[in-house]
Amino acid sequence: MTKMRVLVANRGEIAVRILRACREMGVPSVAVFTDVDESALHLRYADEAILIGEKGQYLSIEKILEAARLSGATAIHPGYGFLAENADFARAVEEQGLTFIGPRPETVAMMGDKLAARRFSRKTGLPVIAGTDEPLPQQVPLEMAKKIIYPVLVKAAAGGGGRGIRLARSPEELPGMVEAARREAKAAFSDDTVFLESLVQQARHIEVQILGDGEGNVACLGERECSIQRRRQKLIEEAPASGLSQELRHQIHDAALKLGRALSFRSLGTVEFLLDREDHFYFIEVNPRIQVEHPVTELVTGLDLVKAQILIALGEPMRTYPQTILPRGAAIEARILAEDTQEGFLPSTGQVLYLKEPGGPGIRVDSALYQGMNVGADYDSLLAKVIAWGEDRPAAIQRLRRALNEFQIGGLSTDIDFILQIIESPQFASGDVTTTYLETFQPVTPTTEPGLERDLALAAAMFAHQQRNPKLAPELCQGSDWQRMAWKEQMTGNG
Amino acid sequence: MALYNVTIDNREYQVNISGGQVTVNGERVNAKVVSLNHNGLQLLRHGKRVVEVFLSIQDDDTCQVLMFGGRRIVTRIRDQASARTQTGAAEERSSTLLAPMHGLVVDVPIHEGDQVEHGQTLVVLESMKMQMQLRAPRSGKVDKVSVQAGQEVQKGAVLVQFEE
Repeated sequence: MTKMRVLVANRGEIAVRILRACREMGVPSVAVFTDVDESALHLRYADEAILIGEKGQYLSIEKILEAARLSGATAIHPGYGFLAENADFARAVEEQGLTFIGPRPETVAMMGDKLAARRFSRKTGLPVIAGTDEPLPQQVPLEMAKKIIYPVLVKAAAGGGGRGIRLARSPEELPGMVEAARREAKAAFSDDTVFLESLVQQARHIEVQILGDGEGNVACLGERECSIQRRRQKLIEEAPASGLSQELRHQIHDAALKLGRALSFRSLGTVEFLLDREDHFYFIEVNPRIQVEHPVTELVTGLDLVKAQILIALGEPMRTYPQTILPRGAAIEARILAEDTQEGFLPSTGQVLYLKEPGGPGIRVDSALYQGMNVGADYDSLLAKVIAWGEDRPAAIQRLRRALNEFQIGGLSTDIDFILQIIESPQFASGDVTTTYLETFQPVTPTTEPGLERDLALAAAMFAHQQRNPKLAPELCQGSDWQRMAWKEQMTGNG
Repeated sequence: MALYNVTIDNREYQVNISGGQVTVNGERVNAKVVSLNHNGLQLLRHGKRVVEVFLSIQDDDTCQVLMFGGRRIVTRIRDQASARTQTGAAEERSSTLLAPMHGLVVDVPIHEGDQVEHGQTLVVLESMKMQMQLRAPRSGKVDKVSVQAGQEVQKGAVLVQFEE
């Protein structure tokens, strides 16, 4: 194998994921970290780790390139988020004579401009949602305002990750929503260009995984469904999409392939579509990078997508994939986020005091958690992903439920209980959910049998008592086993 | 002897710890708790079942989170001493704006002495890439602004105080 040394310009679970692939392939790897991440898990999966400075520096092209020079890296994997969709970064990497493990910079640039992506897709013959193909002027002209059908989406041209999007339900709401979208886009992408797009009602989110060698060979690796979203952030993803006819599935795959071939796509990418009630599908955007939800595709195809990216970057000839990729069984992923679902989904920070990750048949956990870890407010709230495989969708859901019940994170709040409630809802089980499902979803708080609840109350009071009165029972806080036995006896109501 | 009121949802349990004796709502209980580590991991033996629970005291010192089987039950625990501080805190809350989460102050679009309306944005706070507009809980005159843009704040920190 050609000599390659991969620098992973990311953190968290995706950095661990990529570094694992490097280790498996025997490719030396380099991690980068900021001063708040000096004990982060991803460092421990790399052969070398380089400090790049303060917390914001994962976004610094200069610092990442400097780390590459220092470490002698020959290739850079950007992961997702941070610089992954920054065309200037991709270009700078290649100008340094390094390999960018991702699409060509010009592809990243075009797909990053949602308006350019819309125009290109329409030209290529893909169905595109009705909307403006040019930036919205500062003042919406009266002529245009009259033609708008409400509700309408205001979207940032430089958007991504669900940011810079607002829904206007009426002409009165439009100026405020345009303003809000511009403000968010300016803050997130330093570009306040926005455009309008019709709202596809009752839509499902279907996306297609493509892989190309940059020389015209493009393979379709099947679709995923990501309709369960909250505030336009995906929460649960699965493969394959349930209930699609073979014909419709082929049409969607073909559309993605057509676009991939027109772009002579290099590396891994996702073509995203919305599917309406009448089985019409519309192009939304291309994500020219590895995605958070890539493991569901890996579990139903048996492929390793990160390794495939690295092999293409090494210039290895692309293996041949079947024209129609047949998924084996079904896979479903839940995103474990640090947020308090009982307090308006506010981000939750704190120390991981206790951790038990799930395992067993058909379960994969991609995580950057460790016991003692401090979860701060500096980066996004994704802690881990639990991915379940089963011979069919109900079996995969069953396994996910079992695994989420096993997953214990002590010390901070997570969305595990909320996800459990979603996957236990009959509508989710039926597969008939749209991207607005969670807007009206009413979680049913599970009840606890009265006797058990009373004992839980007892345990809580005993623990509080112990914490507040360490002097009363010093043996509770430190001590040998027999001393803890004494504590146990004391905790016994009427032994 | 110590008396704790534990609330789960809206149900209250009065736990009396006195020497080796523990009662809940006046009744002696056949349950056993085994401490597995010092962080709060415990096994609760409830009849013939063993349930894994994790206990932690939260920042506000009154709230515990029990985790078992992936589920989370929030209990509010009050003894007589903390009941008093709670009342104090509630009074303070009406005249102050507290940080609902740990994060970075992005913007403070008001000044001391400003007259603000109910619902007006006072502070923009960012945590985990999510921005949150903190709005005035009531109309009134801003007495003190305790933070500025770029500052990191902990959950519960006083951000803005109003004139009484």
